[in-house]
Amino acid sequence: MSTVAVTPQTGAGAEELGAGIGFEDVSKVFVSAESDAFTAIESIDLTIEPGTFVTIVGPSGCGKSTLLNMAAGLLKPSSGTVRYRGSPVTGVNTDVGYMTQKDNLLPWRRVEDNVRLPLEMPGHHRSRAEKTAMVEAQLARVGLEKFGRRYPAELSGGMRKRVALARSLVYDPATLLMDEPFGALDAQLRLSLQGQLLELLRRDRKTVLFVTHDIEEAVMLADRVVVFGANPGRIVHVEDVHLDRSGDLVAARRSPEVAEICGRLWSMLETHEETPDGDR
Amino acid sequence: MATADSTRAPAPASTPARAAHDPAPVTSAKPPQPSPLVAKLRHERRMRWWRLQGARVLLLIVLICGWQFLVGKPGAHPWTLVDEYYVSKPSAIWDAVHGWLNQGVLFSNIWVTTKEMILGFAIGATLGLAIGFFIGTSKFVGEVLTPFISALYSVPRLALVPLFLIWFGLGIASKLAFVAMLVFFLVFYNTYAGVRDVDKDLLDTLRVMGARRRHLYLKVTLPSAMTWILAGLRTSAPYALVGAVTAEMISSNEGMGYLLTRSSGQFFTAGVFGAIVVMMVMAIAVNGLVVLAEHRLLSWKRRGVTGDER
Repeated sequence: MSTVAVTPQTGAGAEELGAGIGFEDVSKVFVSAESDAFTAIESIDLTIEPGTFVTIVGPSGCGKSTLLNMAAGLLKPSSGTVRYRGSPVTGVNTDVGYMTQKDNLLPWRRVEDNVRLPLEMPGHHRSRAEKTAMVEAQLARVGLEKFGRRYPAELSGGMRKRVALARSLVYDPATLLMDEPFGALDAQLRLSLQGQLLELLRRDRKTVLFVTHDIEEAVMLADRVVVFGANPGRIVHVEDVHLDRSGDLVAARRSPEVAEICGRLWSMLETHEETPDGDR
Repeated sequence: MATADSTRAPAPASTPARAAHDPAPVTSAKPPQPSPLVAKLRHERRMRWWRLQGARVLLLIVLICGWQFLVGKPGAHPWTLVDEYYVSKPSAIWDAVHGWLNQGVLFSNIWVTTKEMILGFAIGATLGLAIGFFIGTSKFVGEVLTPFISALYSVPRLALVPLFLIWFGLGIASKLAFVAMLVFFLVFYNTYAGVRDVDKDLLDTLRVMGARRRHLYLKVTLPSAMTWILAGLRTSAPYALVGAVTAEMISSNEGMGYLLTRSSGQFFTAGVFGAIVVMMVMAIAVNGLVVLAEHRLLSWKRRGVTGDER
């Protein structure tokens, strides 16, 4: 965190360290025919500084994903304002890379064509050869350079996650929104992917908003952990984390510092979890 | 069990020999030689396939021979069981078809029916695809039209043929209309269902990447619905033949359906069977073409986790 790596191949580093996201008194209410109105989140005030890694941790049903969807412009807040780079988000926010627990790869495209997908959208004026080079470079960064010709169904879950990560990074978005991206993976794979993510971010500093229900993951990755409570979703605590992540993640994970923070956040979640009904 | 023994017992001895002289064009690319076990399993699989094909051909021969020899003029032979007036016999059917061929009516009538099938199929499939896609992608229009389409769908299709005859006359146009309608509904329904079935998360993923509507349709909706669309095309292709022949049977002076009704009108049983056999061959050909097309378009579906391309 102290040293920001220089990225020679991209121009993003020139402007600033990513882009800030702001939630100002944001609430979201869902109305459906069958049940009463459901308040997913209520009065959220949260500022994510440019270039910081913020994790949101909380029980299921606390509106974490709703918050991310609003930052991506896929959902409109019922009240309040979501800002991105200072201006209100009105349509879909195309300045972000969005990764969810589902890898959302297109099964009929080969891995390389999946990674190329964002470059096929308007606004990427590059030659075919340049795009191919970008895709190859990105696949190499996630260690999948040999698997470009495969189809997603031929890869393991962890590999598919890496493809999704490569796809999110290939167009160099200023911001990454990640919704439990490593949720369905086994512990070892998670650790390895967390390490890879941090490694990639060390080279290209980005703003990251990362949702998880795993407190340890939240603490390990973030500059700042935001703890959510459920029913309705609201912020119950914000914790700034200052860890040295330059070395071994496994070692950092065992440090007393991490244990102390995790313990504290755990008790916070427990005391705030008095609601009987959970999932939404 | 003799066959099972014969394949199993000499297998270990025969595999090295086979591997030696077998050019093995498929396997030579990656591993130089398959292990004896793999070679043995592969050999057993191949043997099973041949036994299967052999049994099928044998059954076909038995059926045709049985038909040929158990049918005849009543009392002609002691083994004659069925009057050939009712079921004809393979040799007579062959003569009938051969006769048409000599008179030059076989291929001209096949061509008429094929033309109706292809054109009607093209019209119906295009309309079904376009309208299904449009209604499937615009939620409101879809919701408005759904009950109307269901009502139309429940009309007995055959009942519309007289109407088409009034509208489009006795020529090819009324046949095209009938074939197109049969194909339309199947393709339309499948396209509609396929478009509605698209994973919304995939669409959102592309939206965040900056996709416009056209990108969403071309890169997600259409390929995702392709499985459904192809299923619709596949099921409707045989119906194109059914539709063409049915319309011809009701009113026409050309085509396979006409040949069939004419034979029947002349109490020419062999001709009726001949027409049926020709149609069967046409149906098999249509089916083969569809399978081939599907195989090409959905190649990604055959890839499993193992990377086995089959």
